[in-house]
Amino acid sequence: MLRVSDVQVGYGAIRALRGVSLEVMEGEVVALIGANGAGKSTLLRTISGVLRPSSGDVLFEGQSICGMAEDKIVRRGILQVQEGRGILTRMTVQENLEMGAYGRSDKAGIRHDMDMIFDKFPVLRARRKQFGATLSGGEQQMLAIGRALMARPKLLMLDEPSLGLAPMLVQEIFRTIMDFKQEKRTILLVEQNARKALQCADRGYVLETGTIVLTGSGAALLKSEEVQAAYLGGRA
Amino acid sequence: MFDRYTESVLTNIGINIIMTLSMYFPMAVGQLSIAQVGFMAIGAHLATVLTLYLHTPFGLAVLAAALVPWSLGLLFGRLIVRLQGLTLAFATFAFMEVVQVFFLNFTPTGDARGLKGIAPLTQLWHVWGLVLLLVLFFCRLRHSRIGRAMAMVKHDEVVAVTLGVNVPQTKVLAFAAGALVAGVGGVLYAHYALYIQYSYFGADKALALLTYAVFGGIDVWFGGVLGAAVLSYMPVLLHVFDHWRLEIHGAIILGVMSMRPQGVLAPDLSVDTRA
Repeated sequence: MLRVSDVQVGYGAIRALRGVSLEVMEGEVVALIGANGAGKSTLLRTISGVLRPSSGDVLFEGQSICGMAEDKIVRRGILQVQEGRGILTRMTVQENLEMGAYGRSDKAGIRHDMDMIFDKFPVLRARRKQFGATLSGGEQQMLAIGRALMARPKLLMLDEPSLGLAPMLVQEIFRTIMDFKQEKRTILLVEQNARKALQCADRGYVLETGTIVLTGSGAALLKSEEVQAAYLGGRA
Repeated sequence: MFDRYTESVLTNIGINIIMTLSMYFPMAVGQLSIAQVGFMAIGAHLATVLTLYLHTPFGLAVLAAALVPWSLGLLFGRLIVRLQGLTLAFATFAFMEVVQVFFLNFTPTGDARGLKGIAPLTQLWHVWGLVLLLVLFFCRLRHSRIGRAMAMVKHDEVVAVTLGVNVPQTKVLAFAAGALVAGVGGVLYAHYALYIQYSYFGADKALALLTYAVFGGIDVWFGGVLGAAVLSYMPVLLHVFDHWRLEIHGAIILGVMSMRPQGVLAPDLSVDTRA
């Protein structure tokens, strides 16, 4: 569904991505792991159109979205949940979800999806009339994910969803991602929490200072010695 | 139905409501625009020239007074799309001033002398019919796609983009819509007041409209309706106080604003909504 080909992206003189290629196929969960500063967020930003690659291409459903305006890319079905979440603070939980359904006009479908999201995240149902700003970090993360789901995305990109969350909430987030896997949603998951990310993923890529150094199935990467040493605490 | 005097008062209130509501279109996307009075002037002068000199039917004149400001609104809206806050307010204020000076000097529309002898074509039902239309429109706006887009743009432009909103287009459309309504307000005013002159369409009128909006609640459109209705009727009521009218008018506004700074009808958001 998504194919990134040999993309190079720079911030001025700094080359953040040096020829990155990756693929996400329909119905699979792909994890992108790597240390801080490896370029993971840069890659997501390039896919969503915030950044333009200096060379290479990004294809979505066979068509190039390279250089397309951000809002157009979103309307094509690529939704990103950013770190920092982007909650509309002066709107209620329910309103935030309604805003997610911006591009849709099927009232019944919207109501149905909202119920589905409240089933998934009961805490949001409990707080549906509260302002976004009054939610805790974990709740905001769930709201951000829920809101993205309201748009019925074809591809959902999650940028460090577990960042800054208490361990119990981290578990909840990854449980949700496992649910997504069951539901055969197409997900690109960027995470520093390598272990959890690879446990959920069908396939994974390891990004280090702007290049993909490893790729394979989630299970294979979990077992690989390099990944173990660099990201999973290694063997003594 | 009503006697001439009452009809006149009601028409005046209605036109003020229309003009105030015209501000709420750009405000719905978070743009404080003081240009409405400029579009009102354009609508008023254009339509008057049509009915007065070219004997155009009223309907066509209203149409012209809607379409020309709409087009100008699209153009000018594009120019200001990147501006925010104070700079935006100044730019729209400048627009109004430029329009005013233009009509001051433009002889075919009467320059400094203005246009008189305008036919009294505005009827009560025209004005209140439009008010009703606008009220219905704003009621339905919240639940519509464009309404959601506007709410998001107002709240947080960056987030709006991440949800697929074409932010510049939404802002320009809102601005142009406000211009259109202001233009129609201008026609209705001209054919009610029967005399228009450049000096009316200036800072005083703009400030009055802004006061109506702030009084009633700048965040909610029905605040504009209340503010315009109450504050344009108040001078009539205050007649009894004779030469203290203006002071009492001002005092009432100050009093209400100090007790309810968000405006009479705006919700009391004393919850700390900072994340």
